[in-house]
Amino acid sequence: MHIADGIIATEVCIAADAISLGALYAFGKKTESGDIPRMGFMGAALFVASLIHFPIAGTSIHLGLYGLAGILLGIRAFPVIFVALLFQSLIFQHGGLLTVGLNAINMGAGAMAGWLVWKAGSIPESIRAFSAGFIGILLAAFLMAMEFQITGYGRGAFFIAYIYSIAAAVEGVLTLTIINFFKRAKPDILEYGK
Amino acid sequence: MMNGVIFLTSLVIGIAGPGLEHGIEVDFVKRAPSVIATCSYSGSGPVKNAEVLVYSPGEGDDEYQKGGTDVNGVFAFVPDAPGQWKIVVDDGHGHRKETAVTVTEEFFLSEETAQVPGEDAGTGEIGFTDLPLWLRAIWGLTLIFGIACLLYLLKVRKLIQSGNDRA
Repeated sequence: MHIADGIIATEVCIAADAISLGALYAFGKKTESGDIPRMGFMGAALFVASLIHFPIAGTSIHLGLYGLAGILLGIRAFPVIFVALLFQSLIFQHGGLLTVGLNAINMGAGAMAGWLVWKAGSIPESIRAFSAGFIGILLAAFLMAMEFQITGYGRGAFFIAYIYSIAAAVEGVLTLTIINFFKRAKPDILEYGK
Repeated sequence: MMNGVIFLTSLVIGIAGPGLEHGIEVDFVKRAPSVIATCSYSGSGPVKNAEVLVYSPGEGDDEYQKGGTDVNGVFAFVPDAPGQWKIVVDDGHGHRKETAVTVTEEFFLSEETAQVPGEDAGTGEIGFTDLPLWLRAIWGLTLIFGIACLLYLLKVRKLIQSGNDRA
């Protein structure tokens, strides 16, 4: 899920970094003081989530929590994902430093999609929660697979879609579990993204 | 709010535990005349059938050897000169590791076996990445919480100042 340096052309990575910095400003400006602790905690959770990984089909995939970030933070998920990715790259060498912008776009898009699904009020809440977690990972993986396909890298988009659909199901269940917990413990936290 | 975030972070940190890093790790065994590399997703099994490129010291971008790992994540090459050999492992799914191994003059004269971890490509120095994973995770969490606290304090200070100005 985290694209390493040296896979995508440098020019593309720099362009993605520039777009990401623009999005960082757009989605991060006018952040209210009350949002910051929530963003800090979500950033910490995203930062360590990638350490939870499991082997599948000869490769290794990990949790992302992008859908959950979308539910809990709305558009503020993007700056949080960007910062978490930056620290993952610097501290764990998980994903490249030059590709932080590209990874942030992929995963930020997943979070935004999760947020949009969560806002679809006509669908039962448990289905929305599962779908947000599911789509959060799957869209990020889909974008990554498309980028690999365009650049001619790797073992094919279909294989990536296959392995990440399993990860998306795990993520969907986890997101649903966490949302159910928040519903009991602190329901107003779920109103933020709506 | 606090219950929720404590639950969330505990859940994530609790499941993660130490030693569960996701990236590719490469360990080398030097056994003249070969250097044998074992590639693994740390704590998550071998990097099977990955592409491996070997670059000899001072040869720039010209590949010395192009090959792949076996089902156990192992590959080997036979160096022909002392120096720092660059190794690039790519599993084709976005996981990529650039590392290096130093081959000394003594390597060619002896048949001794030595096991060494991969080095930072280009420098050969032991750096921040050699710290235990749990320590780096705590370091990162401290930074993230520190930044959040700093931003919060700045925001609150601004609010207090604007309130005082109005008063």
